[in-house]
Amino acid sequence: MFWQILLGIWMTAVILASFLYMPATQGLGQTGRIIVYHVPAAWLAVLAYLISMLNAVGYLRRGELRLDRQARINAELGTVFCLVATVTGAIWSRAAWGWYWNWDPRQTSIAVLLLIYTAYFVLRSAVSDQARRARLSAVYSVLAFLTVPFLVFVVPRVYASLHPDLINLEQGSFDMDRKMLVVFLASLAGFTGLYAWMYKLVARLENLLDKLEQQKRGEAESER
Amino acid sequence: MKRYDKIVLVLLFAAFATGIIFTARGAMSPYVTFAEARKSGRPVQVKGCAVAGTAEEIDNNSFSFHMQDENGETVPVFARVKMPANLFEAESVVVTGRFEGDVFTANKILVKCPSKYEAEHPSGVKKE
Repeated sequence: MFWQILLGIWMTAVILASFLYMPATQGLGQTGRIIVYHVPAAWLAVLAYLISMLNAVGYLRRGELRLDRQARINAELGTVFCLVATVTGAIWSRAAWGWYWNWDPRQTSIAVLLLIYTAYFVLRSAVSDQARRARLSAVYSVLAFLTVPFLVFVVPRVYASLHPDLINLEQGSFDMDRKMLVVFLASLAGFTGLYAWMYKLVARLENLLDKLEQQKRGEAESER
Repeated sequence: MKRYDKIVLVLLFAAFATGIIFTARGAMSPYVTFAEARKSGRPVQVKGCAVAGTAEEIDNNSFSFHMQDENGETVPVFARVKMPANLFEAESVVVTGRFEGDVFTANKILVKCPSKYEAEHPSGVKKE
């Protein structure tokens, strides 16, 4: 309970700081503040997809259904964060470039990523046998994750994009105002904590539902 | 993992990578030059820069200006939209439309201003 309260205070502070402490951005003005939400969401999508893939590999090696569930929950959370990144990105695009959607390489690649992971859930819902579903979706998860580095890191840098790069590849530096950097990193940490919490909640809920199911089954059998 | 599995994985990875890079070429990159736009019959997006001092406001909802694409070709552009205030400060401008004769007619214009994650000057240099 303690760290959840801490996280609540932390995120409140980040939100307040993003509006009050952080300065407006050169060229982007007030709209620059959205970076505090947009980039961490995108980062967490990548992290959750990575953990989903690692769990899928674990399932393929050890065959424990627990790992399949962890892979699925992480894919779900990754998709939630991916959607947040897409929506905040579209809003930002409207503010900075004038249009919500332009099929910029960044926008196209994130749309493709969302489709790839939508297909993962479609695949899961199409197979009813538990072990078979786990195996198929684990293989798919590994393949799906292979596209992530390309779609997120390579494509938008290879093709001309309007999307700015935080990391200056030529100079190998990270260009950001000091105050902005503080809020940005605090948000990154907060979002990561939020993700861990969301994961724990979903996992616990599903375990409880499992137990309930088992109990019901046990009662039904003892009645017989 | 067996050696065979590893080889298969590496091959799959390579196939994925090349697949994405090649199919991406058409799908991922919407921005073309004026030369390519001339050949294409469909509406396209051309990326470039507005040439300073060439804007002419025709009425409230259309204007014209000269734009230089990434190959350095300068073409007159007629845009059927309200003129963006920051057109000439923009680091890059994207116009969507097609050629009508020698003039590129755009019905959509995107403006990307140079942005740096640095604090705005407090002296009020900021332009709206």
